[in-house]
Formats: sequence, structure tokens, C-alpha cells
Amino acid sequence: MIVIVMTLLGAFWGAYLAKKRKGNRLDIAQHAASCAILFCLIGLFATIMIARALG
Amino acid sequence: MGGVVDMDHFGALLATLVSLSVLVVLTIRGYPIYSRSVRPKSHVRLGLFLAGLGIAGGAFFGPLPDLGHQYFFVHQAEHLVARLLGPMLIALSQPGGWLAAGLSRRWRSQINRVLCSQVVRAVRSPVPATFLLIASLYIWQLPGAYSSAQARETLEFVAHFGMVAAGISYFSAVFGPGSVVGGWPYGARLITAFVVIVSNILLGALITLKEVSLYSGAPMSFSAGTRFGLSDETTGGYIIWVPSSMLMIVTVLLIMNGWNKFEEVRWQRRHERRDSNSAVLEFPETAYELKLKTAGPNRRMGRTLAIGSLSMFAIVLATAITVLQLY
Repeated sequence: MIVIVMTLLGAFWGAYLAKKRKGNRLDIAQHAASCAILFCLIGLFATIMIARALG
Repeated sequence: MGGVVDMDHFGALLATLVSLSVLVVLTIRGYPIYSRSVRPKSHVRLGLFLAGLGIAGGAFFGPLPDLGHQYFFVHQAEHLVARLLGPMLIALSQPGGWLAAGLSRRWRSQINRVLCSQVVRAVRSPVPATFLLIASLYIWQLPGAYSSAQARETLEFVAHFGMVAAGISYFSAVFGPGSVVGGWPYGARLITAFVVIVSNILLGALITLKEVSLYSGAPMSFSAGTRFGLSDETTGGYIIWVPSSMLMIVTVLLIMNGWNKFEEVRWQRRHERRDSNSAVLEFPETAYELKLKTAGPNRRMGRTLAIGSLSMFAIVLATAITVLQLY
């Protein structure tokens, strides 16, 4: 769940960043994909840590 | 048993000392001769070489080896410096010139003969060199091999020395000049770097995400069999995964920088060469021709980089899903 939420959050944030910097459609897609990957990995680590902490 | 361990320790220490001393003596002898013929003078390469030697030496001397026997993650840091960081700095310094200058004529020709032999040339081609770099880590991460290396210092020395040798062989080809005969094509350099990144991610993700302790059988392990043991191994896996991959991403950037420089030099010298008519067409004369020539390769490069990143991401997710389903 955390992974999916973080991935979507990353995609939106990346798209917002590219749009703010006046990027074209491909720039928006690239930023959205890279931020989604980054946030997904952070989410994955968070999930593992929480799962381990909860035992 | 204690005697055996002491002899192991002594032999490993002696071999490390001899190797480092030979390299330092050759540098002291050869660098002044070499630097007289190089313009502009720069000592950055010498600094990189000494830093690389010091860092790679950290896997053999100092606090790391002792701590590496107690903590799995420190041992992985040793592997990182021995296999990637130290060899990378040594190869970036391109010390061949001054090391050769430090040798006597007889030794120089003998070493040159060995380096030009078919076996060495075959080992230094892209596929075997990359395979050796990856295998030098994977073999010693097998729990049985890891425990044996922890128990016998000679074996540990062989493992770390093999990592340094595989690293130097790989990085010296990757950072070598593009114009030399037998030098790797830049595309091959990039692909091999991606292969190494993927191998780091695969092993690192597997060790980070696993739920059982695999290295608890290692003797002298402070954390063996405890709950701390698993988090120790998780941190170790993370070291294989992230910092190692980051170093390889730096390598990718350096390869692209070297490729750009190589192309620029080739462009600047386009009028000095007397090539055939078809070879002259390699160099566009107008902006339109340049765009026409570079559009395709640029698109392919962009696609390769995108596919590279997506496949690394896919490997991480696939490993995570597999490990989580196993436990």
C-alpha cells in the first residue's frame, strides 16, 4: 500500500515539477517516471523497515 | 590451529606489503622521469593513484579487516573499496606511463610481452573482464565460501586480492583511451557498466530483503545468529546495492565524459587526416547534416538509458516480490 501511494505521489510531484519548469509533454513524462521510481524505492524501504519493526 | 592462523596472517600481510611497496617504489622511480615528458604538468593523477592505493589497501590493513570479521556490513565495505573504489581511482590515474618508466628495460619488455599475450588480451576483452569483476564478488558471497574466507586469512587475502585485480583489469579498460588499438568501444563500456550495476542490484537487493540470516555460520562473527545479525546483513546488502551502484553510475558519467572528449578530439582533427572520400563523409559540414547524423544515435542512446533504468527498477521490484513471497 505504502509503495503504491508513494509511486503515485512521486509521479504527480515529478509531473508538477516539469510543468512548473515549462517542460513539454515528454519532459513531464520523464520527470513523472523518474520521481515515481525514486518514491517507489523509498516506499519499498519504508515498508520493509516497518514490517521488520512490527516483527 | 593458532599457528596456522598466525602463518596465514603473516603471509597475507607480507604479500600485501610487497605488492604495495613495489608499486610505490616504481612510482618514486618513474614519476619524475614521466612528469618531465608530460605537458601540462598535473599532479592530480598521482594523487588519484596514491588515494586509490591507500583505499584499496584499506581492505588489507588498518581497522577495516578486523571489524570486517565482526560485522558483515563492514566486510561489504571492504569489498566495495577493494573491488570498485580503489581500482576505479587507480585506473582513472592511468599510471601505466610512470610505472613503466620506473622499470628497468628488461623488466619492461618482459611485462609488456605478458600484457600483449593472447591470454591476457582475451581476459581483458569486455565480456571476460566484466564477468570476472562480477564473479569476484558473487563467488565470495556464497555463504560457504564467505565462512571459509573468514576462517582462513590466506583465503581472505586471495579473495580481496582477486577483487582488486579484477577491478583494475576492468576499470583500466573502461577508462582507457578510446584511440588505442584493442581499446573497448565506448558503447561496450557503457553496457558493461550497466551489467555490473544490475549484478550489484540483484545481489544487494537479495541480501537486503531476505528474512533469514545466511552468514551466521561465519566464525568469529560477533553478530552471528542474533537478531542483530539479520540487520547487520541487511546493512551489508544495502552497501552492495546502493553505494556500489552509485559508484558505477559515476563510472557511467565518466565514460560518457570520455566519449564526448574522444569525439571532440576526433572532430578537431578532421582536417589533419587524409582519409578516403567515404571516411570524410563521417564529418558533417552543415548544421542540418550534423542534426541528420546525430538524431538517430541520440535517440538510441536515450532509449538505452531509459531501458537501463527501467530494467534496474524492474529487477529491484521482482527481487522484492520474490523474497517477500518466499517468507
